[in-house]
Amino acid sequence: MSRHSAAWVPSGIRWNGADPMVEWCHLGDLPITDPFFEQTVDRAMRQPFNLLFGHRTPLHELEQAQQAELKLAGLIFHMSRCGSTVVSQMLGALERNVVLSEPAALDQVVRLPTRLPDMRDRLVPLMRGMVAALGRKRHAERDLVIKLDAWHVLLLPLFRRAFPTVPWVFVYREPLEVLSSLARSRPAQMLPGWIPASLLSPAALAAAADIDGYAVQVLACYLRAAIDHLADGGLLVKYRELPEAACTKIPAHFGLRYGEAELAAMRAAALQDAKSPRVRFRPDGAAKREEASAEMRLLTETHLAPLHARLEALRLAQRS
Amino acid sequence: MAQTALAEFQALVLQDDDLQQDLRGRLDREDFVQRVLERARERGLAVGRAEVEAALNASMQSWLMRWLDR
Repeated sequence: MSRHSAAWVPSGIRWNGADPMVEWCHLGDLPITDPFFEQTVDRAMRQPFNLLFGHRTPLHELEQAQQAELKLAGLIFHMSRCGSTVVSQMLGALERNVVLSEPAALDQVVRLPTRLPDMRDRLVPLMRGMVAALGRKRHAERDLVIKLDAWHVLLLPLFRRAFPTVPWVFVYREPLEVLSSLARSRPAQMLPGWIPASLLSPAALAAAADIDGYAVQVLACYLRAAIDHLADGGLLVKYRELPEAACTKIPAHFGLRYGEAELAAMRAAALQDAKSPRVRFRPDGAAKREEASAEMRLLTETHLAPLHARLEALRLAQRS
Repeated sequence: MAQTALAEFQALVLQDDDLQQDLRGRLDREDFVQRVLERARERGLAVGRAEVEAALNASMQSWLMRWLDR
């Protein structure tokens, strides 16, 4: 056997000058149960073995392996701060599932063209290769689910080309609650310049100098993308349908069936705060709405409410 | 340029699952370094403690700085 036993997973892409390299991390028996895959990788990478024997291989070698050992059962897109981590934590509570939450290595693959424009034509085999490398069978798992970064919804056509038969969901929430959460702590992708300009609307690009205005326009792009591509394998899930939807309509859409004991384990996982699993979950929607500024309310009402209403209509139509 | 004994040992470990398992389980740094030196010596490779320590430190620094490289 070699370094490519299933215990080795990509921790990310590193650069050797202009050449992208895959950095490999030996997970050993570490369970992939942290709220974000990066947290699991970080714990592994700090261990002495990976510090000495972690290694890199040329990215193009990923194109040789195209099929994950685990079945890629579904993709989770979301608008951020909307309950998608609850979904990934609930599905990840089952031994039969590997759920990768926002794996940095896959994000880095889809961002390659910002650094190397010629990579655009190779993205599909590279995405499949990266998912194959991440989706190795280490234990008794069978199914793989990937929760993507929020901005990846702007790349839905690319993900559909890479994984045309894999069903996906889009999780969303009352926009004012999302905006309020983003104002508390802003992720990198909500900072102007991080998302490629070619994926954003003129209104988003024009709002770059206004941090809240920009966030509103980016969220509008997310919602519009979900609406535009919904008919191509998508299912809408609203925050208020959680956590139960993670036991019912989401697995059904992914073609997964769970027994009573598994559903109980998933519901137990939902009792904890998804991003701080040692803490009990407490609803915070009302607090988020209350702390929203008047400007946020106006921006939401003007730019996001109509798109949210459209999503709601589409979601209700999917139920019937 | 000639490969160092450490580089030779690293390449060897990447080809040997049993050796990986043996070393992977050593989570305590001192325990890990000891085992690396022993296993290298058993294979006729004179790996120095300072060399291993320096490699561990450089690798940790590189990992902590990864966001600059991404």
